[in-house]
Amino acid sequence: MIHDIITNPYVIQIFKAVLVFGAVLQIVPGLVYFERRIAAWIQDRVGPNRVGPLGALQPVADVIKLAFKEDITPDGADRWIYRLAPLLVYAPAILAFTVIPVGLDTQAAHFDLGIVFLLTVGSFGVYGLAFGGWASNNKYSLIGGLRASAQMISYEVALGLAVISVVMTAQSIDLQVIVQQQYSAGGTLLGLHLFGFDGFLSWNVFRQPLAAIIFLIASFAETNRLPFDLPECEAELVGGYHTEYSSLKFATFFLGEYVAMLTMSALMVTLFLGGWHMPWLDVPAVMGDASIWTILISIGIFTGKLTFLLFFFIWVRWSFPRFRYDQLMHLGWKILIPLSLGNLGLTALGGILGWNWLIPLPF
Amino acid sequence: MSEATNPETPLVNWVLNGQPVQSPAGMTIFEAAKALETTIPNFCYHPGLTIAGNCRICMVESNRSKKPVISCSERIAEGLEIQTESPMAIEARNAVMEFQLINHPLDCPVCDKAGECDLQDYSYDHGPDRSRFDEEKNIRHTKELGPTIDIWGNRCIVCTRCVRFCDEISGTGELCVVERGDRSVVDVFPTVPIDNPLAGNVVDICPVGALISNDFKFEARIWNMRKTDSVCAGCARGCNVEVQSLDGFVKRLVPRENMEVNKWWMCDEGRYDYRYLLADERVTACTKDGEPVEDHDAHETLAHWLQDPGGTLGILVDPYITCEEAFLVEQIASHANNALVGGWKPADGTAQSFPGQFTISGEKAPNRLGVEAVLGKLVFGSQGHALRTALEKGQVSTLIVFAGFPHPDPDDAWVQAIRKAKRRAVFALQAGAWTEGAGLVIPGASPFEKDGTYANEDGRLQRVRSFHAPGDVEWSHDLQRLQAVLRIAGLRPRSLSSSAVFRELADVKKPFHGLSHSTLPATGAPLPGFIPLPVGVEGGSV
Amino acid sequence: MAHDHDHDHDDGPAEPKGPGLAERTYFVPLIKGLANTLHHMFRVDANTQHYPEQRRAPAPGYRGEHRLKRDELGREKCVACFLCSTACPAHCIEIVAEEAPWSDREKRPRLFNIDMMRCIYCGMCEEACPCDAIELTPVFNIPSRTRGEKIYDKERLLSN
Repeated sequence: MIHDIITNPYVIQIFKAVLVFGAVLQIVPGLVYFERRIAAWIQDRVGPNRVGPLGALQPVADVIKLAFKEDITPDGADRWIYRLAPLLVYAPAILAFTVIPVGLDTQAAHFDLGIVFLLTVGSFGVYGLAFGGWASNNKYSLIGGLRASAQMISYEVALGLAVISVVMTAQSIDLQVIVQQQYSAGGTLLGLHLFGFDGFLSWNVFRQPLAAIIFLIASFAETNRLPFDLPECEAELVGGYHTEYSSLKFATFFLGEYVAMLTMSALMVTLFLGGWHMPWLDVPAVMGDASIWTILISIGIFTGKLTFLLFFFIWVRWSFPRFRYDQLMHLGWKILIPLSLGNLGLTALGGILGWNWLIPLPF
Repeated sequence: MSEATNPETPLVNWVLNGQPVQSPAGMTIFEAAKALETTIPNFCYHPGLTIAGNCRICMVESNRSKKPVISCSERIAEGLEIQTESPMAIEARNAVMEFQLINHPLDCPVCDKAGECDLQDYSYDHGPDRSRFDEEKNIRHTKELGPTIDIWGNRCIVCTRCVRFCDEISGTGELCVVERGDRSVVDVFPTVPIDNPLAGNVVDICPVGALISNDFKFEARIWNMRKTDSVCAGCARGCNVEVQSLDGFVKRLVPRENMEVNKWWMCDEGRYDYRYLLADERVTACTKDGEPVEDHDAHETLAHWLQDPGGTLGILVDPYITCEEAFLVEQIASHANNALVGGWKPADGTAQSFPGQFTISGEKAPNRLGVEAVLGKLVFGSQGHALRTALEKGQVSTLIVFAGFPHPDPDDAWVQAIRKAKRRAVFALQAGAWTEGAGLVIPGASPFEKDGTYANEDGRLQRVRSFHAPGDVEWSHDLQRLQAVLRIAGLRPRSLSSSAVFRELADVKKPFHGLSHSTLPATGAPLPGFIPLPVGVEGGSV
Repeated sequence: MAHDHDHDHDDGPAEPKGPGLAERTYFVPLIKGLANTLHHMFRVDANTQHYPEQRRAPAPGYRGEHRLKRDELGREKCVACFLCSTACPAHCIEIVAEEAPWSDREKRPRLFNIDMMRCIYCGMCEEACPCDAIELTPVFNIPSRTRGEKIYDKERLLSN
């Protein structure tokens, strides 16, 4: 009886969905805590260290504070859109996360066209920002919403082109295949498994370095993080599109942004950093394909890479000043898009000529 | 002073600070210099009092004397050369100031004169920054001189302005200087306190803080108060006053100079009569049938009454309304089908006049003439009779009463009469016999809270202003309330300032032709061509 | 003098060089910036004082909470001259005077309120006071639970 229920594919799917949902939600408070702590260290401060051991319960206090704030809807706000906007930011970000392979065969939903789904769903976030800015009946919000939509649409082009380069290299749009392929793709030199080439230099970050850089820059813009956080820059726009939001609606916006950052980092890991593969070691081959340990270790490896990228996001945020809006658009349209188009053409040419797309090509 | 205004007085050529000037013969140096806008310090000189010449601060250098001369008593002459700011004059003044300050306690922080004190001002200009006097300062008496006046003898510089005032202006002569030398100080004769009706003026003319009004003692510092030029409403004399208030509370009244009305003085009756502003009986909110209502509701109700008076509309005015308010009353009356306007005024008191050509009017209301100029010369006479008769016969269905008098003095006949009106709205300063049983009671403004014009017993039109700071006013004054009612009733398009209402009035009413608030001098202007009926004449005021 | 400058060549102002490619990509500055922040991150000498446990002594002349002084007989020194409230740029001092019951003094404050929320702690009241009756203490941690508590009356100021 119980076995039937557990093995029921629908139950498994629901379980997976709840797991992803819960896991992502649990990661965000930790992320906020680390962001604050790292920001403090970078600025020679101490950071939150009062609530709980080492201040680790600070996010809990923050959430409680947010929950008890007065929930304000401004006069003249478009009520339903105003309520919908935070969810439209939050839901796509968490939905996109479901197709990321966080470990060997570990995916909430396995799509053949994972990347297409991810890009499609991810693009929905812009509606939330634009709606939030529009519905607030506030000029700063409106400008913030406009900036957000313009910025996200602009950088989505470069991001998409960078992803297509990877897809062309991998000859697949299935994320699992892309991950697998990064380990196995020509990681040999003269038929020998040499140290360094095997499972490390075969990562797409080495095979598609330009695409990786473009993807990284564009993902900062997509997640509205510094140095591209113009939609919510407090010096000009108070709080941008979420100026009027308070209490749990604001919290949802906040959550959505961090989940978007998480999803983008996870995508970066999957596409460029070898996914759940450990460098130089073929974990499934050593531990056995179906072993639970293989899955756990691969999840651990993925988490480690993800943590590094998240740290990088935070690190960049507290290192660089904000761009001006015209500089942002200049970078997006006049530099990143031409570069990614060129990269795409080069990739196509290489595909036709049968290049192996390894950095140490001459060997 | 009077010579200065007489064109037939011969002119004298003299030199003031190197400038050849001309002045009418007979003036003192001080007055002539003042007329030429050169001020010379002075303590004992006062334009309304005889010359004493005892303070010596006004000394100037003259070409006719080796020593400096006192400008308040020396008269100008042909060829006289006067230096007011020469080293000799300044040295003389510095010496006088040092002398005055020898025994002065320098208690400016607790002195109520600080801020308007001549000694303080001149010590900034001429006083030494330290004292060379090592001995003990002498102590003089601090005591009550009368029910309203205290003396702080240490501060006295014995200029004798107050003594001369009591001798010459009030003619009562209570004050004198006792003791001699540095112990001399102002005092009263035993058993004769200073309690004449003008006693308060000695505080104003005291150049230092020696004479202090009990009423104002420790109440406020001079520089913190808001000062508003207005007119005293105590009697028909219409003395020009400055209302000094702090945080919306009147702290004291001081007279303003107006040679045509009150010179430099005012009577104690008017000076200390401002407490009624805070009386418990003061009406502060609109009530309808005894229940408090919003201002707007009250205005709307009254507007409906005006639109449909249900018979004869009666309006009972008092002599406390301004000319502008009277003009609005006339507009109401002219729009009604059947309106009776009548006036009531409080009983006359006794007139008093003083040796210093200062009079207190027997008529204890400020604006009878102004109301008569607007509403007709018989409004307090036969029109009033007609209204009362109609009221007593029960013929008036809607009655509006203006009861803005500070001291309700119910006239039984009138009180009985107004109760016979079917509906009654009262603009009342204070609750009492006039408001009892009234359907609508609307808070009225006191004369110090009104904005408009009063005409005094000589027919001189003078400006009254509200002492409240703009925006501080808790209740709008009657003029604004009346305009609000008229706007709701559709009789006036919008509410205007009192100046704009006065402009309309001046266009329509002959005695006011050519006058306006902005061109009305600070001392007021006579109503041209308006000759009121003498009191007591048949049909005139009763 | 001229021979001292023989070796000087007056080339005029240097031709401003446009940023090179390396500079325009910002690549090196970005790496430098990241390295800088990383260096700070691993520094241990944070300058933070852990406030409730560590307190620093206020500098001499620190302007904190006010207090009213008493004379040798324990009476307030204030004579209610209003000079502090006149000098106060924030208009936070409210005084009502009354007659003093003592023979050597005429006037004293019946009410002396300072609105500590409005006060800007400039010390002008202390400078204006002719009787040396008010001064600013170094007390700086003056929290309260209600707004009403932040309006200090005479008793509160005298007990400081």
